[in-house]
Amino acid sequence: MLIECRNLNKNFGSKTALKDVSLNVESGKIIGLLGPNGSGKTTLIKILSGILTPSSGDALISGKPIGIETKKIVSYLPERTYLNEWMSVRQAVSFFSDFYSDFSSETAYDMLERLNINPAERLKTMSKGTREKVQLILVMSRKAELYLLDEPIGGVDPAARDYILKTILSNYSENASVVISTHLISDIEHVLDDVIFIKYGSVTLHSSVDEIREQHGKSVDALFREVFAC
Amino acid sequence: MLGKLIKWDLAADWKKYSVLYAATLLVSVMLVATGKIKEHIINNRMLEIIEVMFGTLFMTLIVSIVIVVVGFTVTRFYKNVIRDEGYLTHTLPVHTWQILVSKIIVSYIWFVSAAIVGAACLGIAMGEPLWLFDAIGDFAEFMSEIPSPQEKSALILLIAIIIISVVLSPFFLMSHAYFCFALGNLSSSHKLGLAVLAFFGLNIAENILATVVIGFLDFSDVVWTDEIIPPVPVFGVINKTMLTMLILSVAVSAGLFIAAERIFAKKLNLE
Repeated sequence: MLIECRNLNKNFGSKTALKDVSLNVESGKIIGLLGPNGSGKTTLIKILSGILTPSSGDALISGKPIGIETKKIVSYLPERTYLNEWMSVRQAVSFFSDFYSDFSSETAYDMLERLNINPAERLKTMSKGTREKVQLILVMSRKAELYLLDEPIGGVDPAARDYILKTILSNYSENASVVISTHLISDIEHVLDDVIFIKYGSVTLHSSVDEIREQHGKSVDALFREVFAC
Repeated sequence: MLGKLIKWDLAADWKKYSVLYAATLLVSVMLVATGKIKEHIINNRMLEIIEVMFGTLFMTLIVSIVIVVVGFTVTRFYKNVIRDEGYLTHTLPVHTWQILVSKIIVSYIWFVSAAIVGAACLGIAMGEPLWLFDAIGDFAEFMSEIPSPQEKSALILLIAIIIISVVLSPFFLMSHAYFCFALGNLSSSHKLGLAVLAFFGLNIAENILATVVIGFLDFSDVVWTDEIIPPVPVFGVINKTMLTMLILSVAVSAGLFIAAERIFAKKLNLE
């Protein structure tokens, strides 16, 4: 099992962000982590990437507790810009190449060229959307076992969304899994194998997309709107 | 991995430090140049104003260079470990202690370079580039003239304590800052405010602790005599007090560094 969460809880003061989350994720799948704002998607991804420590419970990746060994095999894209702004794109590529043994500079430069991003340009002078594209390129240029992508298409225009999804699909290896957190379900539904619905910090559904279509006779987007209707 | 962390940390700030050092050097050269020109052109009001202006700027830069280095290193830590860049820093496949140690080493590099630039600028401004070596020579001569071996050894001990304290002061400062940021990180909100409060609270607690520990010191072994000026007993009391303070600072700072490392490793809580 690639991801194992057992009775995971996370509290921020009196607020509960995750409540008794238990789930297993296999390798070789693209999983949509779906839920409305504040449902706990980002919290769960942060715990798996090692940015947050759970209040209680266990999280394992490839059977290992979150730590230096899991960071070697997890490629994480946060929902914010995390690159050092003083760097040029070339320096950012060099930085990733220095620290991640599974990073391919060649793949990164190839994707940068296709998106017409100048490697000499400084991140500071780029638009937020372009910086997000650079981040995604860096994250997807790793041959990781698990990709954790938090809102990868949230801040970019619809045309770029298609490219980003294509990038994700064409760059992850068959043995790897991709967890994509988003609420833009209709945009990503066609690439998903499984979905996890998360509501008020609890997992309410973990199913394959095919099962949802068979059992409910609806698209994931339609089911999401029904489950999370206000 | 430690070497790589140091390399990228140095790369992040070297331009800012270069500008600061270059500006300080330039002002010291301009100050000397203005003084030299003034020797040939007497009673020129404009030159006098320029000299005063460069003198003031020079003194400001020399005095503030260490403060600026402290500001740069603490800000860098905050941005790179606690704020958005922390999302990258904490997902690198490195140990938490490596992140903290790399920051300490880099801060040492900047403090030492600031001290060298500051000393060089003072030498240029005074017209004696080797003033530090001359001062060391003068001090060695002064030491050789002290007749009492008791007084000499007490003075050497005092100087050794001062040098060790100065050398360790960046470590003391950074370990306090890291611990306070680590404490702030535990909060769900107002992380920076909590870190600042913790810093002041920690300093008050440390001062109280130092006062209590010094209060328990036994000075009965200090031999009082009027024969030597300055009297050896004064050195005895100062040395014992300063040594105690130094040991206390080392112990507290090491404890804070370990505590900060444990908090970041086990209780990381980025916004």
